[in-house]
Amino acid sequence: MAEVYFMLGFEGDLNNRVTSLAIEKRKALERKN
Amino acid sequence: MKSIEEQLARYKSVHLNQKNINTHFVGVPLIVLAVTLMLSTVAFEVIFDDLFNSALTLHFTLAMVIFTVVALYYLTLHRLLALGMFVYILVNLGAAHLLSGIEGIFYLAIGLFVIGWIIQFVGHYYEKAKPAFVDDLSQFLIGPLF
Repeated sequence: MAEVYFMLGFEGDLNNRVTSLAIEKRKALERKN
Repeated sequence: MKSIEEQLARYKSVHLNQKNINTHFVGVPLIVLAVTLMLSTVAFEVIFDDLFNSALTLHFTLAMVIFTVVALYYLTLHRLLALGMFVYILVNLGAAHLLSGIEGIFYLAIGLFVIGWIIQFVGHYYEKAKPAFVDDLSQFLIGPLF
């Protein structure tokens, strides 16, 4: 649902915050493995 | 309780590959429909006697009860996303109601469930990361919200 909202241009701020936090988490995950 | 940012970011951290995201646009709805169908096979009635001099019988399914609780959880995370999820859940419950008369619906649901998960795992092959629920079971509820 959130991805659909983001694609439609809703909740852009939330999208930016989620994406940057997700990338940080992925980098941390890859460092751990 | 984790915030919407935290929950979505945790989920998105293993769903950054566009191919994986695309498979989830198919797999997640199949799994949610399958679970709705399975839970809809458990039905019960609540009867109110002598209500304004008449009896009222309400019909419920386990799917209605569980998805109401899930919808309330979404509401605590984000009101606008929860609104979309309410509509999505209602459509699924409506579809389950329409399909409930089909013979062997439970087995059809199991088939949809398995196909949905196969599609999800194909996506994670491209992502080269394990699914989010492996480390955090609450991510099962975040999949549809994502």
